[in-house]
Amino acid sequence: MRRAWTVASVAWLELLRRKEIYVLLILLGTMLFALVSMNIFGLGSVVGFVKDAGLLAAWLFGWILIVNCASRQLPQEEKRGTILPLLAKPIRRGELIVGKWLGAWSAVATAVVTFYLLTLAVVWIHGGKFDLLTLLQALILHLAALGIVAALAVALSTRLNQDAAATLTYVASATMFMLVPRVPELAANAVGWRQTCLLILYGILPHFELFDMRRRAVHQFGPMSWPVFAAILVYGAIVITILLLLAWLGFHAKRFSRSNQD
Amino acid sequence: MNRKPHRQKRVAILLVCALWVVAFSLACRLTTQQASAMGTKGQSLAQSLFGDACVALGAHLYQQADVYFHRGVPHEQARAFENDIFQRALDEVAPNQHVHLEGATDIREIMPWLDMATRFNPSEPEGYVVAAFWLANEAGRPELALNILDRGQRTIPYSYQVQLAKGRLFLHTGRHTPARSAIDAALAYWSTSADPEREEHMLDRAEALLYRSLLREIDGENVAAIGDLREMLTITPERPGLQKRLQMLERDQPTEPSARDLLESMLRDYAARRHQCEVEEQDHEHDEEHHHGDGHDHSNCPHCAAARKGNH
Repeated sequence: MRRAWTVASVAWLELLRRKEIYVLLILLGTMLFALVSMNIFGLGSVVGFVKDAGLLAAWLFGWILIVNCASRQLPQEEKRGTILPLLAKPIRRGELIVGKWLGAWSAVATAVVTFYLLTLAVVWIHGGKFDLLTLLQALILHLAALGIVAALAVALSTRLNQDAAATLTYVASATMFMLVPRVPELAANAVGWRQTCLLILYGILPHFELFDMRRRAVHQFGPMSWPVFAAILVYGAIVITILLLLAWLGFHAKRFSRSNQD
Repeated sequence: MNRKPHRQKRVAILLVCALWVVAFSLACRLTTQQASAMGTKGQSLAQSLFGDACVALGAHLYQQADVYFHRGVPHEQARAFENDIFQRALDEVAPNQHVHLEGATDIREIMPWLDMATRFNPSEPEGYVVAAFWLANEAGRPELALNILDRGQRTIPYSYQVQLAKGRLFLHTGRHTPARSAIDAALAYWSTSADPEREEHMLDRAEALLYRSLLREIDGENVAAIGDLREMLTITPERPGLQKRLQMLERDQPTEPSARDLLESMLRDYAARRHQCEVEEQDHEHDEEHHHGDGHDHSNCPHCAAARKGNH
């Protein structure tokens, strides 16, 4: 596990060097301050709207960061040719996969925590408030969702190049986020094999909607019950494990040669 | 040794960037001010950017205001199955109780969505009308409501809906003279901006005619009031209360309740109906004879119909 942490630290350094986080943080800050300074219909600033926009931006920026960061980890090692000396070290391929996932996820998780803190600060400065416990639950579930996306991107990047893996992860995760929660409604209007297909998709695809607590946090519904919260986290852990297992299956027998480099 | 010129170059670049940001911000501000002063003459930034997609975006933002009014809970759709493990968990993650925002502070939360809806789709009067209603009634800010309706009037000058909403707003604040002008304008614009085939437009006309009839009655213009009431009853004839009122006016007898009381009662009912949303509306039997503050039968009153037109 220590070797996985060492691999993860490289992902951290890379993310800091690329400065994507700073750009998104400045973008979020500018957006929130612009929203707060809006005088809507002469009523002055409205904070609920800022909460919603802040959390939405945190989801959006977190998604962009995690897909880009996780999908480039393995293909870049391969492209630069550093995968060969890396694999020559006493590290198992499974540890490399876990290290890459852990690095991408933990670096982006830190960025997302910063986004939440910024949103919280802007809302608080302008007289609004979040229920902190609800926000904490929302953040933890958000981080779990990012873990799933990271695992999906790493799994795809074991067999695809960086661009293809990133594009597929964007498409797949967006589809899952938007389509899966609507399956019960779509299935009501579908019949025969279409309905069967929808039900199969509903059963096998990850349910990202379970990790989105924004409605509770923004509209002050208070924290959710802890047993359900824990169950969702366990569900997230299972999905991540399955995806990392798939990543390992795609990577453990993969052959590398110097000709793979661009 | 070469650091100083480098530093100067960097400072110069930073300065140029900063000046560019200042110039851009100033240009945006001036452009916005100019656009708002121009009214309909200039295309909004949203329209320039999104073209015809603005209509769909505006409709979505208007819907979003409704979702916010229900504390983030969207309207339920029919499902093929319910209560599976994922949906039970989702109910816990994202509550779906039927609750409303209440009070001046809460109701402000829907305003950004209505504001954006009117900016993305400025030719749709409903956004202005709804925003003005909530500002005047729940937020207690009729002056801001009037500003919004004025903005709506600048954007869609011949909309009868905006004029009718202005008429209601003036009546709400007890200003009968401007109310009458606005209602006159609403009735005048109705022939050009309404579709007589649409029931809700006909009911809006009936509502405006009834308001004007009552205002004329208050001003002692009984002959004109009778004319408006007669025309109103051709649109919604099954109104025994108003038929009786017409007869009393024709016989030059004092009417009961007074025109002022009836106006107030109508405005109260309109507000109550606006507060009522789709789910509650479905529980409400409109065909039943029901009674309002004036003790009269309102089974077909235009306010009830106006309120329910978008919901049924």
